[in-house]
Amino acid sequence: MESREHLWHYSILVLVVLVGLFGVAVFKQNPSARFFSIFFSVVGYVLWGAWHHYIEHRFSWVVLSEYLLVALVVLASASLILFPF
Amino acid sequence: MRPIVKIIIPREPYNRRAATLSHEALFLYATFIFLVQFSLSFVALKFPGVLGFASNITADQIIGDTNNQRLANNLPALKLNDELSRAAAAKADYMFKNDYWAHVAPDGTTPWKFILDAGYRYVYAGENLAKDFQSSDDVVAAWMASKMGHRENILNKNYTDIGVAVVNGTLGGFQTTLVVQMFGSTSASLASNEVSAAPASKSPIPAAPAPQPAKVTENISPQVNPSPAPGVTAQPSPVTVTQASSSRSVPVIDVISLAKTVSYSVGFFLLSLFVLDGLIVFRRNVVRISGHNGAHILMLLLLLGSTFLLSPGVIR
Repeated sequence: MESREHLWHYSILVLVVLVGLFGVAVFKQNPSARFFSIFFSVVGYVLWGAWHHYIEHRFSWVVLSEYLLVALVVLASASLILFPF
Repeated sequence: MRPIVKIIIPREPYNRRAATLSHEALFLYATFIFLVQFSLSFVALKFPGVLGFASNITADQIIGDTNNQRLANNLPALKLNDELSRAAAAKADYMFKNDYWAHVAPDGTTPWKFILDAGYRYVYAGENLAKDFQSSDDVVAAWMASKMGHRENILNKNYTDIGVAVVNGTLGGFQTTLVVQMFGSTSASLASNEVSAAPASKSPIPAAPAPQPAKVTENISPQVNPSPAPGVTAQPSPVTVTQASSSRSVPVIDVISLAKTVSYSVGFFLLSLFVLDGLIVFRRNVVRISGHNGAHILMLLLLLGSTFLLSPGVIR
């Protein structure tokens, strides 16, 4: 894949992460909204992973499960910091 | 040293990833975090009062910050009123005893009852609530940023007096700090305010009213909610500490610090591993079928950023 196309793909992911952080910063008084901001970013990240590797012709279930497991770690941590008990 | 190197260097048995970044390891990290959360819930249920939010809030600072906001908006500073402070302390005590957190109690008791019981005959009155904050500045900043009427209470020109209670206790099994801020004005205080603000030649002030005000404005923050706060059980729990003027809460386990420590540890640990893994793979030109480290790093930055932005306090 061309580096220009790679950069374009990564800009989408950066945007997804920034939207998540924006939601966390804005919804200060609403832990559920904060969690959903992170959740949607994480879903975006997994979909991005699947799409990016599909375009690269390198998609496999091993790759997808790696994205899913990192997503699980992030969601578990988000759940801990937002709803510690 | 050698075993440590083995688990952080990409290896054949783990799809050419470090053992610490294998699928099994990632699953273990997630399981560990869920176990921490489960343990906290268990401790909260079995040992009420052990978990809580550490805070260092003083009523003086709350009043000082509130008056600073008023002065910055060209409004006169509010005077500390003992009756309103007593009313605020009684309200906080009542919330702990009845295990709720709202302007109106489940039994229908309104904030105005506490104010009148304390002997303050108001013409205008208002109430702001906060809990789980760590500092006085954070509390007032959250009220000022609120679009639910808290800011309007702080900047209301009809108020002349203020009373604040900062009280530690156990609510729903968790040690927390409640902040009750009550505003008010009486006919007398409004009249004296007008006298001090008006030129000497102005016409006389109207006669003092009867003890029960004829026209009463009650201005609690718009969220008047008769149901208990979410996550708060209906069982009453004991008040562990009560102080009306200042409060420093130090629970056995500070939940927020613990959660942040776990989140930061896992986040930075994985971030370092992915960076190291990326560098090694790049230098050795390793070919493998795996996800992109850059994408994983971005996701971990989201986690670390969210942990950094975390502020536990809530207002009502």
